[in-house]
Amino acid sequence: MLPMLAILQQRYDMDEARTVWEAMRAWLNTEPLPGLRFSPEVANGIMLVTALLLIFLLELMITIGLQVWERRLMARMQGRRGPQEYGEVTPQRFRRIFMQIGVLIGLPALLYGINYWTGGTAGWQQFGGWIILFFAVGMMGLINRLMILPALGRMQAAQTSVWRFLATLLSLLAWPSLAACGGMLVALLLGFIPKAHIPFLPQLTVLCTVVAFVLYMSYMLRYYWRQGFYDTIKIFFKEDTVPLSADKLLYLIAPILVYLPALLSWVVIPFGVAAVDGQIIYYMIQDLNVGLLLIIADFAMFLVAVIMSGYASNNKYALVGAMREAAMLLTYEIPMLMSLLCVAIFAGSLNLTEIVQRQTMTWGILPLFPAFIIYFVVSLAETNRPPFDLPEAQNELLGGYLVEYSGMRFALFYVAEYSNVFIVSAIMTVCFFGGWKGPMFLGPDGLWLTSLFWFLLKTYAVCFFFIWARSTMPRIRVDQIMFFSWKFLLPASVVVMAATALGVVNRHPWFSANQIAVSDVDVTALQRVTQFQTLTTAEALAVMTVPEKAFFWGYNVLCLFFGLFILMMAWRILFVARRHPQPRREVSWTG
Amino acid sequence: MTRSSDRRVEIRRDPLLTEKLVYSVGPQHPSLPSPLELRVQADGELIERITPEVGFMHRGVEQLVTQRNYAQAAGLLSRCEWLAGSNADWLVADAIERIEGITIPARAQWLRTLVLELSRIGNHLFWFGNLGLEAGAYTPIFISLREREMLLDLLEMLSGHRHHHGWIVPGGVRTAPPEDFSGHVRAFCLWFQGRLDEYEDFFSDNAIWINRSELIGTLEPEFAFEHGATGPVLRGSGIAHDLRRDQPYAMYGELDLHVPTGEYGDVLDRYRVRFVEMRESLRIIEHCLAYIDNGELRNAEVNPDFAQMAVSRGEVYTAVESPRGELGLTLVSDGTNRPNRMHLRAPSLYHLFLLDELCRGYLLADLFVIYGSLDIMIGEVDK
Repeated sequence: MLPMLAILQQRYDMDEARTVWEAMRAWLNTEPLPGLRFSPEVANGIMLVTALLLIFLLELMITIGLQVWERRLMARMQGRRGPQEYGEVTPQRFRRIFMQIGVLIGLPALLYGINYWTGGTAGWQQFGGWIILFFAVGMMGLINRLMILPALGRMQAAQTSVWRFLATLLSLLAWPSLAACGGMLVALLLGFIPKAHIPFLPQLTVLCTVVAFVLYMSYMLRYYWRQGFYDTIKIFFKEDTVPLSADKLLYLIAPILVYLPALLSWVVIPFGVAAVDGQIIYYMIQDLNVGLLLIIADFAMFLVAVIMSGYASNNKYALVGAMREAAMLLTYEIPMLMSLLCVAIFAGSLNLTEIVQRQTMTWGILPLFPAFIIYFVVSLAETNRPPFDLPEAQNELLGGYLVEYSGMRFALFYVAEYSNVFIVSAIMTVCFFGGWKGPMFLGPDGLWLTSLFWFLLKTYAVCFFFIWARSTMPRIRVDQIMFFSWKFLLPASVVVMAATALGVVNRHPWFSANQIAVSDVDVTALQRVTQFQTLTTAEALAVMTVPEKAFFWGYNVLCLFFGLFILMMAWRILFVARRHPQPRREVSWTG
Repeated sequence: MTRSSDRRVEIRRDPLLTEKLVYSVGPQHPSLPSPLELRVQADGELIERITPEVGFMHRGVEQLVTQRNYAQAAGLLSRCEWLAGSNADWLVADAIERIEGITIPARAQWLRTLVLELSRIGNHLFWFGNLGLEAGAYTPIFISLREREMLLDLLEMLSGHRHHHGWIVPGGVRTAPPEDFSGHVRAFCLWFQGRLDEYEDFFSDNAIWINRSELIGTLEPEFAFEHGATGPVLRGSGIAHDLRRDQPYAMYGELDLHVPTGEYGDVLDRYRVRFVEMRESLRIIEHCLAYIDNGELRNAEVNPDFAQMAVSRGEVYTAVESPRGELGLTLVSDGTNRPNRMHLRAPSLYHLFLLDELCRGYLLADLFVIYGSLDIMIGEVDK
């Protein structure tokens, strides 16, 4: 035990600035602009406002994204055309594929550019296996998407079978995987031209990339994502009504109180990690030692606000919804606490970054699998997601406690709900899936990007299961929910917690497989292997071999071609408005 | 499991004398697809009494038909039960044929049987999706409506209309089926078998659904019989009553019909009965397909202009096994081309007033599942 503590101590002494928050504080204290100095109070105020704004924006974006993604995914699972997909008709396919190929070329260039500018190097040791994996996944996804799913086509019913589910999942992964694969490949190839730093190549590629990416996003905005933003803007400006018989004060502050804990939980979630001058900075607002406790407390606050809104609406449906919510949350908070306590016992800390660091060798889900199952079920209930959405059951209680709300106050409930989904998924990632840990393929200087990448990937993978549950399950009845929790989940969680505690205390190998490892620190200690020389283009071309020249010109021409194509498409998409008529329904089932 | 072990809660007098809640469910409510108000008196979430308030959709169809000719009357009646409109067409045609003593060619009879069964599947598909929504599952409505679209395409191919076909006319059927119609139907049947299996995997065997529906809303067979329940509701309670078998019409007498019945009369039984019925209908359709290609479409002696058809004086009651139960029509004719009096015996009306008995002692969440399992069509109730 002592050596572990020593390692921990040593590591933590090494870090002076441990979070973005503290780095900002340090920066503000050191005269950020010439002649500009802040008193500590003012600096704190600036930081607080900035942090809140940042969280708000981040939360709004993630919420909108999650909701739009959910609609699209549910439409796919249910084998129908989603609300965002009405523009996706056959004449578009050609254009879309070209756009995607543009991203395919562009995104790797972006990766290469980042890698180049951050001074990273690439080698087969870091890349080879991943390239093969991504390529395989991408090709499988493409085959699924272009051949198998259309072949199943309208003949198949909803994507409820396992095969259908896998095919859909793979097809969703196709382009990102191929893009990642291509990016790594290109970065690798360019890494193998060490003789020259080719001027303008990275600039050109990154420019093309940015254009391609922005345009692809605008394309997505046009067909997939736009509805979410429109809804948000619309709901900002809708009338905010208050029923005459409502308890006005409580009615008005309840949505804010629902939203507040959802906002607060973001403070302690570690999104990633960066290495700056051999120090570790966590991407989180505050690295609290009681982070896990704070999040549990936030969910308890949520309950109070919901009851407040249900009572203050002075509506029978709202009241019944609030009572259901109260009963359900009270019931499910105990198993949630127990399953998270398992994590705390296992990690020896309530600090979320330490919980992540504890899972360097093995993810927490392996030793804590029963606790994970319990927590997953409970988190469905805590966030009011189907099949536990009975407090706001649309077709029984007309939305339950939401029934009287309108406008932005109504939206705040939904922002809180989706934000809770993200938070719960993030907690699951942190506690059971190793947080930001993963192969850091961009090297020590790209640590910030890779850690964010892994964290978001894992979190959205968990979110996917929330959406999947929604499209598959009927709603559970209120008394059955109580029975399930009190008679099954509670005893099970007690047993699981006792087993975990016994295992940890007795140093059972199953629980002591994890060592406190310093892989993040090791990665930062990696030194740059290759130094680039600075040559002009002419000099570079002079020393290039023929294949290198071919690659150089070919890549540049390709980038230019796609850049121009994308610019043209951008012009059409952004400025030439064209409505695409609904495609005629085809009767393909007659074979 | 015996009948006495159902999950109904005994309603006791409340010692605290707390106030009862009266929920007004409807006339606009996401769970009620047509306008209907249910006054639900409940103790918290425990239902004590339900009073259905009907009449939000009253159009006076029975009065309107007396001012119109028979073709128009058939169209109006099929708008009382729009999910399986061919049943009303069949009723009007059959009533006229009985009064006039018209014989119908065999091919037309087979075609009528085919259309009635296709309508039954279409109706049950809609019911399945709607029941899923009532239970809080979002996917069944999408998958079942997609299948129903294909079925409506078939009916459109046959009659030119998706819902109100007006294809069954006195003496036979209106038009000949298009070429290769039986091939299309056969392809649909083959394909739909697989979809039914998928529904079973997806929804029928779902543990949550079983928990939501098992021993919920139990209907005693005696009570159901006394209160005029028919169709799948009565069969779910264990009484094998099916007009297609007991009082055969069209070509049902030629068929070997299997009548599925339930055991406990709960929501799950009614659900399963309808599922088996869909499979039965598929079997019947495949049987019909062998006979629809050759023969006469319509009795040549009958006036081909349905709108000008005068029916001699008489009175007749005829009934069809519609997807919801016994849909009956009383026709009093006076020798003109307008009916003197028409009365529609709507099964939904009887089933709606079972709701109070079915829901008493269950929770508010059960009300919607029970309502969905009865498959009530307000167009029939209000007329």
